[in-house]
Amino acid sequence: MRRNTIGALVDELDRGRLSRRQFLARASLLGVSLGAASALYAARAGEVAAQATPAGGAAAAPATGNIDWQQASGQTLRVPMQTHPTTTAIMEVLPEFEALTGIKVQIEELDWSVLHEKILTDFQSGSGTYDAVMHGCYTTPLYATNGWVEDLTTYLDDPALTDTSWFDVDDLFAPSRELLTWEEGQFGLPVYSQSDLLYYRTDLYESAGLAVPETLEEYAANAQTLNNPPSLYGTAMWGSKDQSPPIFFIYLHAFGGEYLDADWNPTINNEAGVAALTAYADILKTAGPPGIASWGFPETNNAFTAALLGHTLQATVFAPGYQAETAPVRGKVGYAVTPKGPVQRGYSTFAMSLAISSRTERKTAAWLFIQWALSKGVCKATTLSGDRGDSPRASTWTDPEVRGVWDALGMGEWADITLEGMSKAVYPNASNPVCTSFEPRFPEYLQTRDHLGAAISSVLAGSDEPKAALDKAAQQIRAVLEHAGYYNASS
Amino acid sequence: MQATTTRRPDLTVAGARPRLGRGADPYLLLVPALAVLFLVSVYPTIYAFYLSLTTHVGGVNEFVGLENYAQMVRDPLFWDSLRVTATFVIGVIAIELALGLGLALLLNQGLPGEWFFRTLLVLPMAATPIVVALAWRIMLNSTFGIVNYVLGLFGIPPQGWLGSAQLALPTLMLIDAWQWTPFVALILLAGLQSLPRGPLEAARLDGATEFQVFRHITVPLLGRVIAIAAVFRFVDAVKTFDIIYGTTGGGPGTTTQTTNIFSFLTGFRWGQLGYAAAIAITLTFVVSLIAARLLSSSSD
Repeated sequence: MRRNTIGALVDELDRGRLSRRQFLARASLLGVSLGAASALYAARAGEVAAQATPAGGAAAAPATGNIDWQQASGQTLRVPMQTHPTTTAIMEVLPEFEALTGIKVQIEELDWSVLHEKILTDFQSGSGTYDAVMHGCYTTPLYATNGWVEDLTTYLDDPALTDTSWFDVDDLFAPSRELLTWEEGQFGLPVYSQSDLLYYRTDLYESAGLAVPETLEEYAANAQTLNNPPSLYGTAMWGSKDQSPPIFFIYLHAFGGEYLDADWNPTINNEAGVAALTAYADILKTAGPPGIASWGFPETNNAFTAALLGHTLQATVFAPGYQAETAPVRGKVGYAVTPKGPVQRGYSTFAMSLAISSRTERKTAAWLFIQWALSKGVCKATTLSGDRGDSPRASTWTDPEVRGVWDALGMGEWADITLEGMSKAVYPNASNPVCTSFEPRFPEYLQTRDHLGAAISSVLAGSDEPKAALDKAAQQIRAVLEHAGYYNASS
Repeated sequence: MQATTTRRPDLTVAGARPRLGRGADPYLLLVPALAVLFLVSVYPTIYAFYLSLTTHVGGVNEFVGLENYAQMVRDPLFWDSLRVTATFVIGVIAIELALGLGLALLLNQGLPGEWFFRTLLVLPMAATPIVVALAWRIMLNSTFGIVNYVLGLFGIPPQGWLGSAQLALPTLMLIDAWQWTPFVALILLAGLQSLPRGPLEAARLDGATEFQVFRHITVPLLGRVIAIAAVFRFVDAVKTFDIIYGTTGGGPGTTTQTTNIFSFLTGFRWGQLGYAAAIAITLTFVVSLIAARLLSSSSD
């Protein structure tokens, strides 16, 4: 009855239903090595008399854990997920999940900017349309305090629901899991993990005789050297209202600034904060493209891929895309750790979460989907087949097959930098327990972050000076926290 | 058969059914329309008003009276958004009336191929606003957008249309004008074509120049139609959402954050539905008042 054998997969391939990528990913899930699967694909697709029998490659460990995967058979899940290479890669291997469990999964792909808004509308209206959701780590406190998402600890501890040793939750990066907790509960698990790094153009560095920058100052100087508008801009970083804060936080930490003090007073407008924003705005205004105040990751990414930028400091996940066969910058991209500021290096981390809606009646099915989608096998298979470089599992990053593919693309250094960035993005401060992570974590954070984003973009747009803009943001952040009762003397 | 024929005269004699029918039928016919109106318009408005008196705490709605309205009056972001809305609305109405009137006069000349241009005019209106927004966002991109490319051919340096505090709002007005000027033009064209010929010809016979005819005869006679076009655009412009959301999202800073966008962010991004409802109800109230005022003053 179960279709997921390598034989069935080859049948599907023979009937012309699978692309190379889909075949490789699903074969890997069934325990076939990349080399064997490639050979098998070549044999089949090339219609060479296939002497390479399926059994030849399939002698591998069982790819699924020891639980009753059919316990929620027949149910259908609706899951909103971000439009993203990771989502695409998971969708490509979904038939394996459906064959394994008898559960159908309808993934609703939503653009980054509307994902949270759609989920929030569903949760607030109580309509319960969604069974599981993919969302950014900074909304975990908001969803958890309102009781909209499930604490996954009970699912992880139930032997009927989770094969603990097979799933190996500790293999999921601890910093990413940490971002998805709230008051002792684990309200989601990472579906992808990332950090940020400095991308630079090796060809331009070579011809201009530049050295990889060690400090933010050197980075700014290099960007100015390369800046030659309108054919080439020195650098670009996210400047728009809703997307600038995460990159600005790298500068904020590098300058020793903090968002809030131990009593929840905004400190974003202190000396360090103003210095950070001044530096962030200076480099973008002197060596960035016009209109940077409206640029988010789509603009930055398109411009860098199209070879219009000398640098960009942004998310690590974009690296595989720059090595795509059609990318003009393929083979010309260098990777460097985020440059140091006057106080420290601003290491960063971010994770997208898969969580279960508290309203759904299909919680078991939702958990089976999450457990499967985050399993070692799926993380590795989707990394091998897709354009993703953001597996939340340490085992993917040390896997020799995966490393082999990355090394061939010259991405070994990128992988090391990503791991370093994620693991070091903690900012312990005994005197200030409010802000110890890369971005602070509390239910009203997104709203306050939008006020900071407005300040950053207004400085980049030239309508405000850093100090004035941050003063205004601090006032607005204080108003939000005050309204939420953070300063009530009684508590 | 027998039974029905004997029963029918009884009813006619009583006379109650026909009379009742004559009185109730018109109302019965209205029921479907009223039901739809109630479901899609009245009920949501009442519910929004109820929401505006509540706040969402830990998964339940809590009644807080007028607190959301009090918060709104104290919120500088609300007043800032009203200022942006007013600038945007006045700007687009002025641009669209001026260009629309010009287009309508042109199309009223009976030039060859007029039907073709009239059809062409409908196209921007038929486009989905969010698609319009995304298309413009790409065209206005500062490094690879076609707008800066074309300007570059004339030696004009690239501009950051959507990322400049000075340019962002005017750029949005132009996008809105691109989409909605044809609507104004078509309304005004209909008005022009229904003008009485008499006064126009009399003025020309008396030796008035074309400008004098336009200024003293056409525009005054067209007053009512211009006012109606203005009211339509006023109500719609206040509600503009997709074009702003899809291009600037209210930025840079808060330079393009209209009250509608602010209310959206508050409710659907920051999760404060009650406060968002209070802003929306206030906006609806103000818009209705101004629209009613405009309509009544134009009919004097």
